[in-house]
Amino acid sequence: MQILLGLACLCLSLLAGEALKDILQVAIPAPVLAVVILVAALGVYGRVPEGLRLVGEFLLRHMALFFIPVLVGMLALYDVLREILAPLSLIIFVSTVVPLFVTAWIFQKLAPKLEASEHEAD
Amino acid sequence: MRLTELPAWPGLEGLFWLLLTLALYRGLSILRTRLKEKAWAQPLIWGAIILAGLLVGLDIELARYQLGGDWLIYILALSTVSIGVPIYDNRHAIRAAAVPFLTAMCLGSTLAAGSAVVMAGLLDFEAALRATLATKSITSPMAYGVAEEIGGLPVLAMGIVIVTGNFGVLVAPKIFQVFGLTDPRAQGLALGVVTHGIGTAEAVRRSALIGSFAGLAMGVNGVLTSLVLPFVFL
Repeated sequence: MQILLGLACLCLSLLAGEALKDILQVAIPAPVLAVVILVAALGVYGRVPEGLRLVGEFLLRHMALFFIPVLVGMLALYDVLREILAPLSLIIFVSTVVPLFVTAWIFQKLAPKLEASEHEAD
Repeated sequence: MRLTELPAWPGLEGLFWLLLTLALYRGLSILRTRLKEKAWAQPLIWGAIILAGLLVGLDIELARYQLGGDWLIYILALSTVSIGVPIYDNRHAIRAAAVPFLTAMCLGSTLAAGSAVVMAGLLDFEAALRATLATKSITSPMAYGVAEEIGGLPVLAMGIVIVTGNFGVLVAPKIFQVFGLTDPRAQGLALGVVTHGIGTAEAVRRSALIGSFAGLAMGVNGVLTSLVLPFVFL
C-alpha cells in the first residue's frame, strides 16, 4: 500500500508537470517541472512519505537498468553516428574532463572547509 | 520512444527481450561486485553492448527488441521525478554552501554544454547535432525532453549523456587525485553536474555525502539548464 502511495506521488507530480506545461505554454519538459513541483510539495508537507522514499530510492538506485534499452536504441542511429564518431568522441572527451576539474576546483576554492567531524569514515 | 501512447503488448518476443535485459543487468551487477566495483565494469554499458551485439549478430530488428525494452523506458520518467526526493533531503546542506554550490554548478554546466556546442560549431556539425550536444549536461530522461523542445535528436541526446556519464566516471577519480580535489562535496558536485545519473549512482556507492551532493547537483542543474536552454535555442 505504501509503495502504491509512493508511485501515486510520482505520477501525480508528473501529471501536475504536464498540466503546468500546458498552462504556461513553455518549452520545458514535463518531468523537469514535475521535479520542481514535487520538491515544493514536500516542502509544504514537511517530510518525505515512507512509500515515496521506498519507490524513489529504488528507482534512482537502478536507473542504469532503465537506460539499457535507450542505449540499445542507438543502433537506429548507426548511420548518423558512423559519420561523426571521431569528432563526437573528441567533443565528449574535452567537454567532460575540463568541466569535471573546473566544477570541483571552484567549489573547493569557494566553500568553507568541512569540519573534520563531518567527514565520513568510508 | 513514445511516452504519450499506450505501450504495445510485448508478446512472447518482447517479454523474452525484457527478461534478458533484466537478467543481464542482474548478472553484470553481480560481476561488478566480484570485480571489486571497478569503474569500467558498468552493467549499463556492457548490457547494452551485449544486447546490441545480439541484435546485429542474429540480424534481429531493433523494433522487436523495443517491444520489451520500451517498458523499461516508460519507468525512466518516474525515476526522473524521484530526483526530487534527494533534493528535498539535502536542502540544508545546499543552503549552507549555496553560493559556492550555485557558482561552481553554473560555471561547470555552462562549460560542459558550451564547450561541446562551440567545438561542434568549429567541426561543422549541423544545427540539430549542435542542439543535441547542448543537452549533454542534463540528466538523460530530462535531456530527451529538452532535445525534443529545442530541435535536437532526443535519442542521440540521451545516448551522448549516457556515454559522457560513463566516461566521466572512469576519469573522475584520476582528475580528483592529480589536482588534489579532496573535498567530498566538490567531488559530488562535479560528478552530479558533468556525469549525471551514472556518476551519481557511482558516487552513492562511495559515500552518502558525495552521493547527496551529486544527486542534488544533478537535479538542480538538470532543472536549471532545462529551464534556460529553450530560451537560448528558440
